[in-house]
Amino acid sequence: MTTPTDQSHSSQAAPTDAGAARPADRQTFEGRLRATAVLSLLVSLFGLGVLTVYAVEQVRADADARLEAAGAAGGRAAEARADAVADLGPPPAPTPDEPMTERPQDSATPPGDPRESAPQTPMQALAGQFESNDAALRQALLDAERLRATRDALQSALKAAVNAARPAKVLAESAGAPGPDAIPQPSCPDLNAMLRGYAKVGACFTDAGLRVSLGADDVRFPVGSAELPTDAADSVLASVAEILGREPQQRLAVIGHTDASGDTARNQVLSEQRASAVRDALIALGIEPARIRAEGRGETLPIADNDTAAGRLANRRVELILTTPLQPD
Amino acid sequence: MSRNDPTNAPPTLPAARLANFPASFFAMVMGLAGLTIAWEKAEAMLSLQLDFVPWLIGASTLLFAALALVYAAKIALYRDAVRAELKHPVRLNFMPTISISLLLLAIAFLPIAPAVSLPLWVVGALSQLGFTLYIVSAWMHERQFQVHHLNPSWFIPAVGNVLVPIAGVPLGFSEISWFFFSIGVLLWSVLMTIVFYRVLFHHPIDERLMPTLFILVAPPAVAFIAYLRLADTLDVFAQALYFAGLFLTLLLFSQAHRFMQLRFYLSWWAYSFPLAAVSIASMAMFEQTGTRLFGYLGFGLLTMLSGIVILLLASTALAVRERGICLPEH
Repeated sequence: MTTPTDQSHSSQAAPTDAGAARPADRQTFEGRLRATAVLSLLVSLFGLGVLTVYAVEQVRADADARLEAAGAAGGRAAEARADAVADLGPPPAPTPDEPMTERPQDSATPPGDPRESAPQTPMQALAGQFESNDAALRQALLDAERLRATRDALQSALKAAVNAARPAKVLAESAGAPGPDAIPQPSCPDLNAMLRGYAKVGACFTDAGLRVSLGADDVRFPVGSAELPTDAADSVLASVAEILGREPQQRLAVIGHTDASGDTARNQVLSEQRASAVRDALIALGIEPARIRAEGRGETLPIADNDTAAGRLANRRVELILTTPLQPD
Repeated sequence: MSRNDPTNAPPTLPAARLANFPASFFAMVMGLAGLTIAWEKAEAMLSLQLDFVPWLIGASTLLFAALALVYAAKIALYRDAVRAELKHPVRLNFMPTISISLLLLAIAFLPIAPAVSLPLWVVGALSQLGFTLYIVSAWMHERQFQVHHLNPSWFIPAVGNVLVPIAGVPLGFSEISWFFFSIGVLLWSVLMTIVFYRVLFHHPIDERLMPTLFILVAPPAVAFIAYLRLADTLDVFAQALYFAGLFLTLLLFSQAHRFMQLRFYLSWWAYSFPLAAVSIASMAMFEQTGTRLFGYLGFGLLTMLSGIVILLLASTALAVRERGICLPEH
């Protein structure tokens, strides 16, 4: 059929067709060969893509499994510690009112034997008491031994947990999941000043550490921008810098969040940029860069409804997590 | 590459070649930019940072700038040639590839430089509206079109309209985005009906125009992505759009052996773009539903598209070398 449309296209192919004065069947064969080659190339490319996604998923699943293992190791450590505490619970030393005579005696002689309980001379009583004291002492020694073993187990489990958590943390950071940060350790240099400082910035205690949420009242970023407002440094950030200056063992994670409006990838970048801006401001306030880590979570962790303006305002925030590392890295 | 050829051509030819420089060259930008956006989407889906994505953005931008420069020279020196292109029944439909390129660059720049994205989007949307008004008027008044004149390149002006919301919504132009979305869906439903009417009751589409069928995939796939931006929910309409696009993709892949035996035309570039669209749509579907099959499908299509774009680049380079492009009346 010859329509203007078709002519316009067929004449485009003319220059390349002109040189091909080959037999028709050969041309079809070549055409088929080319078609088969291209088709199989495209199909294998498709397969390659599917395999790539599968591989990435496997790596991610592996990272998750390691995270879980780290969590489980942490759990085991906690269990061992609970056991140790339980062992400590009943006092191992006998008290004068309740001598721990039952256990060794029970094992030596069956209870309810009338010959044992009937004749009780003072000498016998003394011997019995001595024996029971001796048994109690042995029991206490045994308990101490067990306690020591438990402590060793606890320490090694804790060490294993920390070791397991370290690679998992690295993987988790690359996977964008919140890593198990260093377990906060209770330490109280001038508790009064610390708590006053925390209260001033409106901090709250969470599993990850001490969290300070900077909402729109504290640090108001312009929409779509990561430019830190100039007045921000005077407000909460100054107080946070004060806390960090007073408590040199504290580390800080600055985590940016956005609301869900707009492009996901752009929100991710924006949250990272905003977290970096806050980090820079804290560095400018004199905190060592090595103590502050900045990261973005984009729109992935909303704390309020993204369908309302108030919810979106709440979701646009920067969180500061104060942690005390278990061991200095 | 191709952008250099008007200057590299023999001294007797450059003038004629510049006059015949077709707007369909911008289809290359569509293909490259589509690939770029799809890789950006894959980066987000796999939460990986891929080092070559900024290079893709740069390459698309450079290509667009170079082509725009050449086309501007054509407008300045050969106004009649441009006018003739605007009157041509087939080439006319490739004119919106210019505005589509702008809109696609706006989308590609959105995650990295919103400040660059905004002017690109504004110019792209305005010129898209202009082209749509001009082309639909031409369809209605200027020519006596017969049923057999219709071919899927008619969809290109429709696709441009559904592209507007993808960058428009994040840039804060919600109502304008709905406006363009409605134009696109309206034109799509009308054209789809006409194309099926032609294929069923009149002469089937000529073999040489077969690849143009691929552009049928673009409107539902792009409209699905745009609708997700606009409505922000995977409702009945969104699902219907996605699966319509998926069906058309399957339909065309089942005829792949027919396409593969055809010769290369510059217009093929416009058809790499629908593949990018359906790949991005599948990845968006994965994000919405969490069904891994969509993720696999989207990324598989993306790697395949990457291969196709490489083949197209090679074919274009070859065609430019053999002087198969920029000839009078092609």
